[in-house]
Amino acid sequence: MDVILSKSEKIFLTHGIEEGIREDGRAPDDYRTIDLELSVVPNANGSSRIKLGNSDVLAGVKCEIGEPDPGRPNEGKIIFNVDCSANAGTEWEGRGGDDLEIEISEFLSKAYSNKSCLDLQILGLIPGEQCWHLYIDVLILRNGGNILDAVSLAVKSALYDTEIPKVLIKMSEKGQSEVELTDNPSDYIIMSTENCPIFVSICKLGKGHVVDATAKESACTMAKIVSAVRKDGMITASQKKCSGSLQESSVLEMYEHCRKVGMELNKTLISKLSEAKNAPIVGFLA
Amino acid sequence: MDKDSIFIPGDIICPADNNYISGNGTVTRKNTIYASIAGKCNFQKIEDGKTVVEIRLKNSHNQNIVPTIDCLVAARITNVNPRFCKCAIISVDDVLLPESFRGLIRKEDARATEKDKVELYKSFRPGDIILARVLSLGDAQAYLLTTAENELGVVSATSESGETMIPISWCEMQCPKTLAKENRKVARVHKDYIINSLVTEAE
Amino acid sequence: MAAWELLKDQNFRLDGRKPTELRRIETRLGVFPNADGSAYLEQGNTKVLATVYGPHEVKGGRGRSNPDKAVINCQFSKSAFSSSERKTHMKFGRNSSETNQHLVQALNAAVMSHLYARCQIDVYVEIVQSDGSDFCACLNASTLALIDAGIALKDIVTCCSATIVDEKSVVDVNYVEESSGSAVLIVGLLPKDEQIAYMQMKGRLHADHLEKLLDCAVEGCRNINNILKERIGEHLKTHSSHFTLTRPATPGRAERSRPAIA
Repeated sequence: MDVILSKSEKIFLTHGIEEGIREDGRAPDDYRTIDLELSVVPNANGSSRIKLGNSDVLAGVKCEIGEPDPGRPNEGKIIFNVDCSANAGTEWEGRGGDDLEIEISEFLSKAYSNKSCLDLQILGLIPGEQCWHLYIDVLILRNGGNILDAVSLAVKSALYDTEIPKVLIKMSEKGQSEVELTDNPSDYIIMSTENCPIFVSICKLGKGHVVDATAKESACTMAKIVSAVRKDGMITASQKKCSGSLQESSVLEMYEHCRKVGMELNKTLISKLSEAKNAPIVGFLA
Repeated sequence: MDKDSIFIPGDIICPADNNYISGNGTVTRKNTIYASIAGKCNFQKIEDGKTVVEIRLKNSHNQNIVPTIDCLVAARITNVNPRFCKCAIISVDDVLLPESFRGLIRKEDARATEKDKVELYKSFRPGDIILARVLSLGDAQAYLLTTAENELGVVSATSESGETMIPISWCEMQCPKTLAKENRKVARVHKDYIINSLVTEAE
Repeated sequence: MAAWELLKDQNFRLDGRKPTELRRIETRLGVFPNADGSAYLEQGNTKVLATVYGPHEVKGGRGRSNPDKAVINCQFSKSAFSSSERKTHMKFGRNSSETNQHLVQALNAAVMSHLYARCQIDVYVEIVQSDGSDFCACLNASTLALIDAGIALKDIVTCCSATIVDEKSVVDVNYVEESSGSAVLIVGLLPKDEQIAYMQMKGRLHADHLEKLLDCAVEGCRNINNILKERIGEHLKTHSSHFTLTRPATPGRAERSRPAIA
């Protein structure tokens, strides 16, 4: 939701942030409350719902058998697709959300293209012929600021929740290999998501910078740096956004900030994921 | 009737006879008052012994009200040209709208007398807050408004130096700082015409 | 051809329901506080989110505005992971624009749109999970969202599907029953006046069965209506405090515009 602020409101917010005070009382490094729920969509192989403050994101992973890339015959594929639901507001009706959808899904692909994030070898079945395609669909139900970070949290959680059916590879009479699904639904493999990156967006307002900007704070952001940070602090993708320009020194400062916050957030998320796995599913009825 | 019972659209509230009048959130069909929105019903006695039946939404700021013919609206002038001026309707009766509606005042509807001598530049300026009445739903682009009543017109305006001006006659306002006089079609603010929500917004 | 035995011994259906039994219905009103109205509805495993924005000025194309009544605008979408097979839903596909039109038609029958002349009311529906009777769940959720938004309605329009299995009519069709190939009838009902606001049938049906099927669907609508009414009541009891009037009540807008509907 784009918020329109008057000049004086912007000055008020910016001055506050320069003093280290935010409108909702958080410290510059604090995220808003994150609600995490796993397995909310039974039709998907893995799913999650993340509520980050007022932002609400649903992610689902579906596995399908398809052909691998010719250049990487032993690996599976992951395909990202983001959908901005019109439920979030009238401006996303029809084609209104298209730009944002493409922007986010491309950035997700970039961040996950690093080999160290996910072990794609595990998704390979018959080299050069068949492999698993993981379709990761993200549905944005409400945009309450910092939607990128919320999406990345949802994607990582949904991947954590994903159960890929085990398959048997048999040789047919003609000497060709064939793929056969096992009958036992509890026979599945789980990918290691330890190294999946999460996004940290840092917004620069005046002389200060903050993470997890609310919609109001985003409205007076001059420049923003989004980085995909792994739990060990490695950055797999990064992007500068917004119209303002940055000095080299402040870019470096913001990167350092991103890494620090990202490592912390990764640690928290990983510990909460195992808790969420066993929690009862409430979904939208809560 | 039970005060706390909850009505759902389509529920019968009471017969529509001489004693009961259907108010907001209700509808009269076939001599019966039905609920048209969900909520608790309020029965309010008015002077002549009749009772108004009304259902109000739980959040009072958003009553889903849209301008209708003959209702009183407050608007902010956005654009003035010799033939008409455009404005944004910000409240209807005493309900502040969550989103503004486009309104239009034609030159002929600016005041009641000497209609052909009206110069819109001497009646309204962009930024003025006016009281007006909805004349018709207009064309597809804007509601047609009128200020051709003594009680209607500019209620709040700022001078060129940025001060809130004080009305000195029905066609002039004065800046308290520079004492410069500016022409406006001033409303004679009447008690019944005060829009509560506007007062709270101004604060 | 039936690969599945849809009705087993003693007339139990695959999911254990009796032929006239509805699936479990769960609702929640006011899911998204930023919208004017919103609702979440579960009908068995079919789960739907609906939001309402408006009434506001007509957006896009000036020609769309209607001087006598509100323009209702629906957008239906289905998340890619909602059904058992992944499908990227085409927002502008033929299927969804057909569904949009059907929703508009059914809601137009219920909304007192003359009260919102020249305005637009947006209804957005998102299927989070699909297990048959998608349209019914969408319409039911939209109604709830409209009520949450406080849009004036003549009656709450409820929708239910029915099909024929082994010469017997079964209500609230799930995905397996829907894909079995027999005729599915969808009815949207304004229960108070027993008016049918929406009707659609696909598949081939013997004329003798039509009455039976229609009765079954209408009965299903009535039952859903009762459940929804109960849920709305519960919601309002917990969420609304009794208001006090700060100004003298005046004969309202409904009263003023009465001639239009008389």
